[in-house]
Amino acid sequence: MATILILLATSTRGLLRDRPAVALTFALPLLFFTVFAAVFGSLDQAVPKALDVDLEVADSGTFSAAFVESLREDPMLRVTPVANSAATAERLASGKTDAYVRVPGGFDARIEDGQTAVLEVLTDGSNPLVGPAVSGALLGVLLTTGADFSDDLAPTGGEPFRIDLSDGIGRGDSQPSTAFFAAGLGVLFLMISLTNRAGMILEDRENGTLERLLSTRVTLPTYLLGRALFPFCSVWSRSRRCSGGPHSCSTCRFTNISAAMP
Amino acid sequence: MNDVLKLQAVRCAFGHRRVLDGVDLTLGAGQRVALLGANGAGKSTLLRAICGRVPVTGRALLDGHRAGTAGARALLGVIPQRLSLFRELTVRENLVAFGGFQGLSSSTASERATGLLAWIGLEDRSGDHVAKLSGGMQRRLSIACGVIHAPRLLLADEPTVGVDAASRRQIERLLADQRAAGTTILEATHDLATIDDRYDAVAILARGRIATFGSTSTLLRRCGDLPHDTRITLASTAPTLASVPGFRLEGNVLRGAIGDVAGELEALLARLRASGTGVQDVQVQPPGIEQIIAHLTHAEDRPWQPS
Repeated sequence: MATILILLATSTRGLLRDRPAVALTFALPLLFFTVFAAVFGSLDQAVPKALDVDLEVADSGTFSAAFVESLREDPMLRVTPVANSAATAERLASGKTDAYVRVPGGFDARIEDGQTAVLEVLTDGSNPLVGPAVSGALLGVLLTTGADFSDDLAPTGGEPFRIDLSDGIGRGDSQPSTAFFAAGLGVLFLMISLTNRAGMILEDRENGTLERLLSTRVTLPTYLLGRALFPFCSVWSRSRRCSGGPHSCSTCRFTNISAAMP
Repeated sequence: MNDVLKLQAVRCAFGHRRVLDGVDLTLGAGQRVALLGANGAGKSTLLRAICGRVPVTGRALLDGHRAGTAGARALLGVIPQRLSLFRELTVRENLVAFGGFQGLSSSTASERATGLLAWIGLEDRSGDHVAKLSGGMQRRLSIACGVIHAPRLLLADEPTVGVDAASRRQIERLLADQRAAGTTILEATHDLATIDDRYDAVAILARGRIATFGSTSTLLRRCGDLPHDTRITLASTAPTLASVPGFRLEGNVLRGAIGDVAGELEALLARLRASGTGVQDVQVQPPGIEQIIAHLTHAEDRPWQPS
C-alpha cells in the first residue's frame, strides 16, 4: 500500500511540474467538451416538426389518387408535387426536402392483381430519424387509405404494401441533421490528431529535437503552429472528401445521391 | 582574423543558482576549440546561451549578430549530444527537412543533401528510416543535418559520446573537414583523453567562467606532472617497502601516487625486483577531469558557492 501511495505521489508531483502535461490533462478535455457541446448541442433540432416530402405520382389509378389526397391532409407531412426526380437529388442534398416519394406506374394494377404494391422512397440518410419517420407516416396513410379499398387488398394473404427505402446524405450547411455525422467524425478525428500532435510535441521536447529546431531559424510560435496545423488540415481534407467537393469519392453511396435514386 | 564568436561577461542564472558567471571567450574563423569542464560545469548552458536559448546578461555576438536573433541563428550549426533526428523520416528526408528549417529552398536542400550523403558515407542508406541506422550512422547524419546550411560557427556537444572507435574516427574526419572548410567549431567535452593537437585551443569552464584558455600543447604540458594513482599488487607482503616515499602498503597492495609515470614507476619496479619481491599486477589511474581542472585553475578542494 505504501508503495502504491509513493508511486501515486510521484506521478502527481511529476504531472504538476510538467506544464504541457497539465494542459493536456485538464485544458484539452475542457476544449473537447466545449467543441462537442457546440456541435451536438443542437441535436434536438435534427428532429423535424413536419417532414418535407417531394412526391412524384406515375400512376393514375383510383387508389393512387386517394393515397395522394390522404398524404396532403396528413399533418406530419408537407407534400410538394414534382414531375420527376431530376431536381430531387439537389433538393435532398441541400436539405430543402427530407424525402422523395414515388408512386410508380402500375401501383393500382398491382393492388387489383392482389400483388404487393411498392412505394419507392429516398430519404436524407444523414438524419437517422427521417427514414423511420417517413416510412411510418407513409405506411399509416397507406393503411388508412387501404381501409376504403379492403376488398382489393392482397386477397392472397401477402403483405399489401411495401416501402423500398434508400438513403443519401445532404450537404446543406444550414441543416443540423446534415452536418451531424460529418461533424461527429470531424471532432473525433480532430481529437485523435490533436492528442497525437500534443504527444509529438512532448516527444520532441524529451528527445531534444525541439531544442535543436529552436536553434535553427524555426521560432517557437512557428513550431507550434506547424505541429498544430496538421490535424486541422487533415480534418478539413477529410471533410472535403465527404461533402461532395471536387475530390469526393464517387463510389461512396453516402455522397452519390444520384446513384441511389430510384 | 574576424571574430566569429565573441562572449563578454556572459552571465546566466536559474533562480538563485548562477550557472554562468562572467564568461569571456573569443573564437576566430576556422578555429576548433574544445570546451572542457566537469559534469555540471555549465558547458551545455553556455552552448544554449550561444544559441540564444537561455536568457543571459552581457554580450554574446555571432559575427556581430546578437545571439538568438535570426541573423545569428542563420550562422549557427548545432550538433546536440542527443541525436535529435526525425526517426520516422528517411536519411535524405531528414537532411532536406533540416535544410528547410535553415531557410534553404527545397531544391538547394536536396542538392546539398546529395553531397552530404556522400560525405558521411550514407548514400546507399539514403532511403532508410533513421531508426534502422546504427548509432554511429545516426551520429554522422546528425552532423550532416547540423552543417547543411554551411554555418560559420558549429557547436558540438560531445559529438563522439557513445560511439565505437571506428565511428569516432569517422566523426573526427567529418569535424576536421568542417574545420578545413573554414567553419569555427566549439566542441564541448569532459573527456581529457580526446584532447590533442586537433584542437587549436582548449577552454576550461569552471565555476561559471572560462578558467583557462590556451593551446592544447600548453595544457597537456601542464597536466603531465599531475599525480597518477598507482596500485602495485605484490606476490607477497613485503613490510620493508612501506618506507617508499608517497606509498603505503595495504595488505599486499602497494598504493600511492606518482607524477612522472615513465621515470618514477620504472625506478620503483626496479627496486622491487632488487629486493626479491614479485609483482603480480600494476595499475596506473590517470587523473580525473576534476583533478585536472582543479590543478589548472589552482582551485582549492572545496565545492563552489555562487557569489
